[in-house]
Amino acid sequence: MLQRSDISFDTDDTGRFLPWLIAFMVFLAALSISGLFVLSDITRNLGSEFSNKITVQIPVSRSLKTDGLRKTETLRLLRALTGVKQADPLSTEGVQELLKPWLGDAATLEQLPIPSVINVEIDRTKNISVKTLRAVLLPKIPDILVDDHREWLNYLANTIRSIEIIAFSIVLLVTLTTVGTVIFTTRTSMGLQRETINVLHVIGAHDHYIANQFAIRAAWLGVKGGMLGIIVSVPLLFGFRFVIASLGTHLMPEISLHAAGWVSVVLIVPTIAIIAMLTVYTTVLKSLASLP
Amino acid sequence: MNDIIRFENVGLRYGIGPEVLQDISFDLKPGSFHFLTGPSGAGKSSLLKIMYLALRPSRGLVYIFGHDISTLPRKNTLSLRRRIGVVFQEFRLLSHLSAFDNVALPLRVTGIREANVRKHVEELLVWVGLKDHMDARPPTLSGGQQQRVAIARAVIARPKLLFADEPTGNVDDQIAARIMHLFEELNKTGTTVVIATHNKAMTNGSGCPVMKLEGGLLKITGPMKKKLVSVRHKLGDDKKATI
Repeated sequence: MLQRSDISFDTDDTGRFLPWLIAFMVFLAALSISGLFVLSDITRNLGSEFSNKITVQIPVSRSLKTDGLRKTETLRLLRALTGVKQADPLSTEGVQELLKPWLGDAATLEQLPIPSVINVEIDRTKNISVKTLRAVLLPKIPDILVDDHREWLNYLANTIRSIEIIAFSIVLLVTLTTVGTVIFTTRTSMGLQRETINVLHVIGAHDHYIANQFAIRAAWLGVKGGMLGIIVSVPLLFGFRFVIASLGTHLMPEISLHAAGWVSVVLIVPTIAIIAMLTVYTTVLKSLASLP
Repeated sequence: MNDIIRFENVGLRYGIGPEVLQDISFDLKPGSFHFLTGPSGAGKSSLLKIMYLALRPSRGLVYIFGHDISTLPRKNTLSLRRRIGVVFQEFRLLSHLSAFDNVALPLRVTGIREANVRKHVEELLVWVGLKDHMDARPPTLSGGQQQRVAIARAVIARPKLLFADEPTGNVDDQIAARIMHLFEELNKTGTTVVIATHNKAMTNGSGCPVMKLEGGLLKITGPMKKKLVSVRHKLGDDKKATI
């Protein structure tokens, strides 16, 4: 695959070590970048799904008849409000399904006091908020609970943002580590090839002629290592997705990497090859500048 | 300036030690032939290194092809180095390359088309008698064969200046005579030749200037003739060299 080289890289042990290191770095970068894309999707999806949703919970009272009256009254008050687009009660079975991940089969017990839950969709442009609903509902039903999902969504978004920063830092650290290691191995390689380099220099080889040969080799090692890292990381990503999906969607949102994410992961290979190539090229040129 | 090389009060010191070359001054005319002699450790290799631009002097002025190398930007020395051929004492062939690829190096680094490289290298390897060893790697070649590969590499680009450090040191008299014949032929085409050697049989009566280094100082003896009186017969080969 490579063009003829005047430099004997076959005897250079750095060529055996570098692809493995790059593979590990690419593996970490692939996981981090995938994580960034997934987290970004989660934030966007949750935001669009829950930002206009409010949950109203009517605790269980002493009698079923009272429960029914309280629910009817709550629905009437909600639907009369300007800015409430929809107010739908969740069925008992629906509430039991929501509680199942935490309570298991106990969630279906008839003796279990399950509150009535009403999903409310509001139009925030109409100047309506949780405060408005509480102001209307609490005087009629003092123990009613009104939850704005936006409060915990903001908390979740901040948490996700922190994780994204960590993931981005990992990608940056991986890049810097790769660059540092490549510089070190290049200098070692140049030391091993000192005699050949000196001969080439004396007979009139331009510094770029010599640097090109090192750079092309580095690009090839980068591709080799990168491919290895991707080959290991891709099944792992699929595995993560399978494991999370098998946990059920109640606790975790759907996690999947879309086309942009996969393309970004695959592009790590040429990116790392280019980084390795440019790093080696500049390192070699800088070292050669010390020759007379 | 007519000189192809000119040294003016050149001194060389390694580190903080004493000067290994002191106040070296001489000039070489284009197309001339010179010997450089002196005991081991006299500084012959160091002087040659300055001349083929592998080393910068500690002081003094050096002009190569009319350029003052002390003020010449590093990137401009490239064109000078490509006009210089060097035969190293220890050959310095690249053992991972074949004889062909070793000889082709000076052409390839200049970017000459591979078809032309092949043509010139094959011609020269035939001329030096290595037609059947083009693909052989240096470790599989004899000392004399390696020497001829090294010489072929030094002359393939038709240098204007040729330096040879002990070119006959590792070969028998017959091969040595043939090597000198090569240098003579090259000199006839206008190449300035400088040969560093201990071989007194080669320098005595050659009719060429002999630069003798001793104690870091240079003394030049012998007539300053342009043409070389053939040294082949001095080395025991009166026949026309057939290689």
